[in-house]
Amino acid sequence: MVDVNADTFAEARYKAIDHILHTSLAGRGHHALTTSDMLDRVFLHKRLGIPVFLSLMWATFQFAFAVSEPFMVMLESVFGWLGGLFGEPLTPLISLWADGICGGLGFVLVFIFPIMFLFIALAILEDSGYLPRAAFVMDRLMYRLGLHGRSFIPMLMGFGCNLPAIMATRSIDGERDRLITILINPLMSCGARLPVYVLIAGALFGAYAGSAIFSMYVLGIVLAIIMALLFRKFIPSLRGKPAPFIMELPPYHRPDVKSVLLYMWSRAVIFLKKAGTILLGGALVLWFMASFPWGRGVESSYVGMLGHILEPLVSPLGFDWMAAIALFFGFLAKEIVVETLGILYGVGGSGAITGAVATHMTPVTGLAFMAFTLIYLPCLATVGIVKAETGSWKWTGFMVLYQLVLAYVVAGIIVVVGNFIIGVL
Amino acid sequence: MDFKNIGLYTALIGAITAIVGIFEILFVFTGSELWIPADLFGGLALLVIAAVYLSGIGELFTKKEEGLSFALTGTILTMVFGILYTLMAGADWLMYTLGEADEFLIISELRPEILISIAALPLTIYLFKRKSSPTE
Amino acid sequence: MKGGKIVIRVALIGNPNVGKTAIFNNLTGSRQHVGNWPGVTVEKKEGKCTHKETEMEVVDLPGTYSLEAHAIDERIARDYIIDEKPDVVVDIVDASNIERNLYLTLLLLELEANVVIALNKMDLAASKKYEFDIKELSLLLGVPVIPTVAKTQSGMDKLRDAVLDAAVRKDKHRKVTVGYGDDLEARIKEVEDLILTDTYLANTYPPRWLAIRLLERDDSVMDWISLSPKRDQILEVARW
Repeated sequence: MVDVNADTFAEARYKAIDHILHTSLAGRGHHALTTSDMLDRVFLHKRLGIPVFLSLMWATFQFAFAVSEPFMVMLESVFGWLGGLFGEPLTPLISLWADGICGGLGFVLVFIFPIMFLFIALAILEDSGYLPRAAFVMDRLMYRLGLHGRSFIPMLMGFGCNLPAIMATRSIDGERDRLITILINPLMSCGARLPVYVLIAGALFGAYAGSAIFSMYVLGIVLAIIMALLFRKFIPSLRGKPAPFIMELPPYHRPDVKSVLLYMWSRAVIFLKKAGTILLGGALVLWFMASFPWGRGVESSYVGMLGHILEPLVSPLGFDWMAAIALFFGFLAKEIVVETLGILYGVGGSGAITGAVATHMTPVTGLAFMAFTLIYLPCLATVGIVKAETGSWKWTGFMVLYQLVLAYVVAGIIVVVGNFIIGVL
Repeated sequence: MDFKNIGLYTALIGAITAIVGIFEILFVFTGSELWIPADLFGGLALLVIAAVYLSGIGELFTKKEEGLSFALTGTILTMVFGILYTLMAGADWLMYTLGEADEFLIISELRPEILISIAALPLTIYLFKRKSSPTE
Repeated sequence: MKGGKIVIRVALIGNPNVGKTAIFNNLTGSRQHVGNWPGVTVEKKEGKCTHKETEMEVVDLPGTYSLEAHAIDERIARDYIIDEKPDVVVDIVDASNIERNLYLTLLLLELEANVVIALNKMDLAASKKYEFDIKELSLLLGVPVIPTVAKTQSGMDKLRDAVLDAAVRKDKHRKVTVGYGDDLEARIKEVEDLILTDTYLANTYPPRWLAIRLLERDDSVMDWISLSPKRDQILEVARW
């Protein structure tokens, strides 16, 4: 490691000055504008910066959803064929294969495509050097809304997975800032929730699916901001000195194909590992509960019984007992929500899953369900990490509670407003 | 190409982008008969890109090198969206061949954004060439 | 507070020959007096300025290019900001020679001073055909930037307003500072974390700034570190 000295820092400062001036001063003439300077005049622009960021984010989600669709369909057919290999699920063993493994686990594995494509896009944005600019323009806004500048990276990581994101909050100095960032981090829609959105939006929103999914991410961000402001106001707060925002602007460069693919692959591997363990386990448990007592049909199975107990809790929102079960098991891992629906709709005898979704939910209910999944509480592993990082059951419990309440409230609002709009049209 | 010409080209592409964007948003409310689709977020994105182009015209017409920034970034954004919609058209075609979609109409797949990105291609190539050779 | 009026302390700083004296005179007029900085033969100018029910006690720090504390002028300026913690530091920047001037600005931001920039000599800059996007500059630096032409008093009122504003918003103001790339930042963080464990050090000097001074091998901070029980650990982590 090359030793640092005063020159290292001086050099960096002069570079920063050059860059600042190229972005804010015209007419310097004798200094040639570099490409980075030119790009930053727009990406860091006081008015254009944020809209451009939002547009790029929207394009990212459009890409991830639309382009992955055909691949998902192809893989679905493969699992469908695999499931049908042994004929009708007349015995528990065949059912285990067809409905449990292929129907449940296989169904969720299909979502590896949107996840892969989403992360490819994010990796490109990251590798090109754009993300620090996004952090800077968003930071100005975030700071005014009570969020800490150093929260941006953990928040951004939260879009991948909330668990490492919460661990990353260690870089935040102020205890209050750190706590707030942890509390709102699960509102950053993690990769595991994406399958839920893709399924529901794909089934109910047709051409607007990409936008519906995008709106969930936006909703998460908006709620995070609101909650952060509320927490700051009502929790006895420490008026500590906010740490400065560290502005790092690496030069732009062409994204390296290898690193982009590596990054995407590492995320895919995480998903596959999860699939092989928790999701498979969850699928098996679910299948068991849904199929036994044997031969009695889904509604009268163990899971049906559980579902009917839970149903009154969510029926005001328009969710049926299957949705309730899906959300219940979703506590283990968010992908299980989709897996559960796959098993329940499948075991219940419905044909194509997306068609099944359409018969169980209206667009309004679907949107509310997506929002509920976004907010209601993070997966078990994340709750565990929150306890570890905050060292407090009190705060962990508070987080779970406020998220459940908020989920109800928001889903409720969506249902009420949505039905009102439909009624009016 | 001197700054003035770049400025004109930029203004033209910017104006077209803005107009298409406005129509895309408008059609969400009035329904679309034309080839331009109704797309709220898509239209908004176009307006943002148009804003980038138009922000640079002032500086380009007063011969400031800084104005190139907006033209350059604008073309990059146009290309990104052009590629996006092309990929989406490709995905739609795959869906059609898989039997999941009933039709594949070239006319509805070839979105205005794709055409705009083709129209902006000469400008994009020129700007990229220009920035790699600093002396001009 | 003095007799019902709020009093704030304002320090003026900037490179030599940027018009700092002119601005000091504009602010204080005849209400100034000259003395010496304690223990040295460097001139110390102080004055008062009243603006909107607030009394400003203005100190004119010696003109300096940086805060490295090699020269006595630099040391005085830096020590004043650290020890006296003025409510506002007005950094006077020569717009027609801005590259050089911004170096000091970045150092002030690192020192976490409550900075207001007076972008002076705008007339000279204009004759050089410079066109500043003041709002953008202000956004990137994270501090208010007030264009001034000290000779003609242009911008002075806005400057006074900005100073009052900054004094009021002191602790809530959003600070920005330069990042040094992943490798350097990791080193800085290592040292900073250790400094944070010494509460006296952490509360007296901005931790990140101190970490950077150590990595820059600035001898003058040695005295401060020596008093700390964590001295050896800190020096070790900084690999000094």
